[in-house]
Amino acid sequence: MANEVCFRNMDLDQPWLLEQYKSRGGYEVLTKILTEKMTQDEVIELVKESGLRGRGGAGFPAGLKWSFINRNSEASRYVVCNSDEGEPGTFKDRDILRYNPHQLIEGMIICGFAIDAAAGYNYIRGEFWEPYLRFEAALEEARAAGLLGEDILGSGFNYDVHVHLGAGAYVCGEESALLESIEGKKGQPRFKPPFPAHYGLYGGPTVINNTETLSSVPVLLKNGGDWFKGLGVENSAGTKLFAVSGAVKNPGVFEVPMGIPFSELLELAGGMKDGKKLKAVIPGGCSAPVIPADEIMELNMDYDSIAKAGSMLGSGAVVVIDDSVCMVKLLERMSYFYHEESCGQCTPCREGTGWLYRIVSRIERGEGRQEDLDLLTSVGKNIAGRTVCALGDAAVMPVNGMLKHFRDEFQYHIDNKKCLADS
Amino acid sequence: MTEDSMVTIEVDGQELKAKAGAMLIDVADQAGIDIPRFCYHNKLSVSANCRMCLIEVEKVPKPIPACATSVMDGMKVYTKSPMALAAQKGTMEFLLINHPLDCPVCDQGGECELQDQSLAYGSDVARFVEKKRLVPKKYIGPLVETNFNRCIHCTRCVRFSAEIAGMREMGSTGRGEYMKIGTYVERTIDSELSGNLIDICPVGSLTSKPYRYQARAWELTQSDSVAPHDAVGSNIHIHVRNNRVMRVHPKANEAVNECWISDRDRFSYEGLYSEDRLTSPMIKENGRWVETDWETALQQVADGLKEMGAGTGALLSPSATVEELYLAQKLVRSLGSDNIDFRVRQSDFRGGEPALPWLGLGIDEIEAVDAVLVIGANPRKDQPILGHRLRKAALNGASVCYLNPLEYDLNYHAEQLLSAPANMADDLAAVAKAVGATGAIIDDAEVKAQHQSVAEQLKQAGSALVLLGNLASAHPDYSILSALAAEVAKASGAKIGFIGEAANSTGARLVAAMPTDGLNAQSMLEQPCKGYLLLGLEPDRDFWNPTQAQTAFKQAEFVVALTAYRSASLEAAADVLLPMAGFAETSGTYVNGDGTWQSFAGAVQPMGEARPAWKILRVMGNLLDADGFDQNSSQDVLEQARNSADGRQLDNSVTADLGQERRLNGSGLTRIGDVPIYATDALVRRAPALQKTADAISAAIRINPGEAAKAGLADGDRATVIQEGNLATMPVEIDPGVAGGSVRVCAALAGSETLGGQFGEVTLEKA
Amino acid sequence: MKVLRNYIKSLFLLEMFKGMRLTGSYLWRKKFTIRYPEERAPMSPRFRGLHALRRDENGEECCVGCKLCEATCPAMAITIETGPREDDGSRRTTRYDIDLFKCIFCGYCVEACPVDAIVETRICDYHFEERGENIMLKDELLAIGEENRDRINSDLSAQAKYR
Repeated sequence: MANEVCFRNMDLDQPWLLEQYKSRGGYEVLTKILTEKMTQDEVIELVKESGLRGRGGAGFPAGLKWSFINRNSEASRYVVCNSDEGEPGTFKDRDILRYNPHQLIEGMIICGFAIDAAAGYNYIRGEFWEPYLRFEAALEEARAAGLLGEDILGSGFNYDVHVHLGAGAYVCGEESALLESIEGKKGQPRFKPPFPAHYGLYGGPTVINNTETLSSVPVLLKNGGDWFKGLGVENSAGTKLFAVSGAVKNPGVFEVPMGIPFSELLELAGGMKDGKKLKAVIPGGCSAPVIPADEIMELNMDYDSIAKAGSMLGSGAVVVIDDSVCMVKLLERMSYFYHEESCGQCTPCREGTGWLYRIVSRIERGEGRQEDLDLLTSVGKNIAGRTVCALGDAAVMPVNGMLKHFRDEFQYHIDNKKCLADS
Repeated sequence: MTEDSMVTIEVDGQELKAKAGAMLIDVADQAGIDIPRFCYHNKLSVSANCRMCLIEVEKVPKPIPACATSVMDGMKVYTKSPMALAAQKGTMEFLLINHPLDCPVCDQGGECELQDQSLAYGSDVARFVEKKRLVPKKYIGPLVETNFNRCIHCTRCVRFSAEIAGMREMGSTGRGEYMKIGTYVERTIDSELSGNLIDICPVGSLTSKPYRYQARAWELTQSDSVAPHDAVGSNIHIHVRNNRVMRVHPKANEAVNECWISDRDRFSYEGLYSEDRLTSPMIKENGRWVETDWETALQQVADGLKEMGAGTGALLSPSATVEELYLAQKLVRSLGSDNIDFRVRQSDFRGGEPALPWLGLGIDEIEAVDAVLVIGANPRKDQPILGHRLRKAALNGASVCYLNPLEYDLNYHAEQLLSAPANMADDLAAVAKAVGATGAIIDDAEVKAQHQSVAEQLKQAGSALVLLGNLASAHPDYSILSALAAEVAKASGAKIGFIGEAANSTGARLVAAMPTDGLNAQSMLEQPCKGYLLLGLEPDRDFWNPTQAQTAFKQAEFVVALTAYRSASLEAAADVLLPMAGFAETSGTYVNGDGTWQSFAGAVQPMGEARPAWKILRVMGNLLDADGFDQNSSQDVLEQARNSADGRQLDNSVTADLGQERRLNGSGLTRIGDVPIYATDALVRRAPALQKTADAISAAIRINPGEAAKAGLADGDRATVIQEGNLATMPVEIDPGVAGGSVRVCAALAGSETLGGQFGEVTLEKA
Repeated sequence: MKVLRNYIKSLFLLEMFKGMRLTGSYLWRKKFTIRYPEERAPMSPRFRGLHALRRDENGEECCVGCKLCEATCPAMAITIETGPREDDGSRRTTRYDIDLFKCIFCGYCVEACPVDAIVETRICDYHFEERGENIMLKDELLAIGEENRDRINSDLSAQAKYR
């Protein structure tokens, strides 16, 4: 029951080659859509039915997003694939780009067809040099095979996909900052509304989806929405790529059905490394609040269950933390990340993330004061929900999660000026 | 406005009607509901980054920025609810954590938006105990001082530079806390509107350099006035301390200057305190200048003028006020002379000029036109606010075309026809032919694609405008150019407009400061008068042909000059110097380019023994026993001037003959003697900060590479310009923006006073 | 009866002796008059006497020319001109005058000063001989500050916690 969607070709020798991809029925769906003259609405309807939700972190239903696009707009429409996976702990899109680039290309073409787009852009994280080269090679293959460019497969549909390599800013994973970056401007999020579906790239209606989301499209269209739904659980259809890292024996990316119990996922990753005890798990990338061991072992990995536990599934980056880790040190590192990556546009995030980092760092160094824990909460409250984009919230959530579940460690740091974990 | 496009919203329990799609913050502002803000400015795009205007809207879970939220019917807004206040206070705390506590030394102290808002939304105890951010200071030019420690990153300056100044000179680099505002790679800000950055910065990050540490906001008294440098007549506030002008700020007037002013209007006040201010009357005794009292000086003037009688010629500055010009012309006419003129930079007086040329439409209407043809003008530098309006028109989609002997660096897309001074008439005739006009020159013109395209744009536009400016009016074939422009306008259905050269060019005509049958500015110098009365003019800088002017004054029996400054050329020319009040020291009235009368009061006492020129002229009238010099105030003078102007209508109809002989024939090199932005009048020429800017160019021979090669000159050489036997040696600068067959040798700059007219044949010799 | 008692009282000068007894008791107590100016009465560190401008430990004048003292002075006794100092461009006063004829020694200038540059010393005995000497110039004020440096600093620190 694993490797059904994005990783379905992993067993092949060189799955990134067009010929190999085609051997597994690749581009069949696209050919069917274009030659059998499926209407755009039909495609969108199919995606909607499948219950595919955005895999980038927010989990917004993909079909619904596509249906917002006004196909009669005066401005050109665009498809943008967000492969800027900057979330610490996430490395799933990298493997799609490396091992299954054609499925992503097919997904982008289908999406482009569905919204009658002028072009597609894949925004690849700056550090992904090797995946970038492989994706470019795949694009060349597809162009040569007439799958991209003018008059695709004789259908009269003109469409091409271009790659934009990022320059290493976390904030460019935010959709509107990503658009600004493609446009050649400084990567700073735009104020929303208007949302990209109305005013996106170069002012045109734009669909922005995660790499995993777009890669799932060809398979779910091929096998039907019900098949896709059947893979997962209620409200979380399909399979999901989980990037498991941290204190496990076999860290890596695992494609498993939605709703798999965490304990099984941990099993897949080989269990805890060096026989250490599980302390906590960050279930959805660094921005998701931490969940302590006893809670997570009871949970299933789907959107609703994780949300119920006060965290989020996010991008599916599962960071496993063992009991030798000092949570204060961990939070200091994470807060430093947000402090470093804040774009500096809006006040609460620009000033607040640095402040959060300094307070946590102070506590870590043993210079914390009693009122610092409340100060952290208060500063967090002043950032969350008041920023242009979600980076501010993302910086606050781990702080709140840590304080909720591991307040005693922080208190110990303040009182004893050393780590609870070491003692 | 139909009912449907209006929505009803409720703000703090107050029901408000608003235009659908309007921003909440605007609607609240109009209703007098105060929402704190830093990054929002109603003339700039919305960026919603300061997060100070967060407010609560019913049914929205999070506080949202009022500056980026458009009103929707039935919306219920709370600007002072606990949620809104908590958000605003939170933002304020964040803004202050890295803001230095240097209000005591900050020039913005006392008029700082952050200071004011922190009083209302700040906390008295800082919870942030770490070190504050330090940002090094940057040099961005002689006008604007920076202190980026104080920056709150609202990006108003960045948006101003890109959207209003149109130069993208500022930007932010770096991320997060390390984000810095600055110019691109240590460059200076060279926009002619850069001073507005000072007003726009909500904190003390960008402040005025000349005003640096001079005064505090609470010491200043403010009086309203009108800027004296161009035909816009920007409304300004003059800030005074201890009877000294400390600075100039814009006064918002949507019909004229919106909320901007040019740097020239803002920083020229410094010229008032130039060392060569004339502070007491002076007379020349046996070739030596001696200070004297008013009585002696005036008596000498009265005696002198009586003797000159009808032989007096009056040359008046077009920057003088309506009152001064009215009394001056009255005084001279009472002497029996009709030799009065203010058109000191015009050379073509062959007639057919419009009776009362003006802009042709309101300054605020310019941005709504669809096509503009600008002939012999560079409004961006000559009348910066007008240039800004033209830019707005261009950004709104208007097609703007220029016909000039110089190619200008414009901050919007415009088609520029480059044409040597002698060929401007040919090119204009070709455009006229292309729009379907007929007549002499036009019929012979050769229409090229570029002329055709200009013509198409003019014809297709819903509202088109043909503008003539400073260079056109100084052109030796001005009457032909204006007649051609009128033909173009007539045939294309466009309006024709004349941009007056100085602050009161329109006003001067309204009060008849020009001859009816007497000598004009040109002939007064060609056929020298017995005596001259000069008002606010400098012989070496303010005349079309400075050599001719200086010679004429030197041979005259008696020259009296009313002037704010003593300069070598005035001392050489005049017999009596009467100190007159300068800018901000006198009350008066300017009539701007669109015919608006704008009166102002004096802000400070005149320096030393100087007196307002209208008073000097009135007393001179009394001493000469002339009638009608019994006014008690400048208002009395204004009233009489207005009455005298009754019946004179603004009138742009040109009657000049197309078939006149062309004075510029295009053989050899022709001089283009434009007046650079910071050389336009005596005050500006003495403003030190402005003279340090990049726009304050010095005299040079500017020539395009082709012509330079022909003349055997290279960049950096020194060469001598020879114009009608007059010489001047200056460095050579290669400038591809100068039309072929011509050489740009600016007028009104030091080093150019020994040359002849602004346009004319010259030869170059390598020095 | 009452008349008789009063008669006896006045006859033997009883009231006078009572008064003399009080006077006599002071004769033997410690004297509290002091021989000014050789001797001085104790003064509070908050004493508001003649003004002084301070310099910091590096010899740099403390005053930054914010003009808050000028603005707050109820008697308009202070006149300040400021400008960027030539060598380093920092904000400094080019003129700092206090007219002692106008000054009412209210101490508002001291309260308003954000950098403790203007202080009021314990000096309360001074005189002028010529008109014009009543205007204390910047150099004089700085000199007073230097002369009384230690006293001013100790007075400032004595009050620090109340400000």
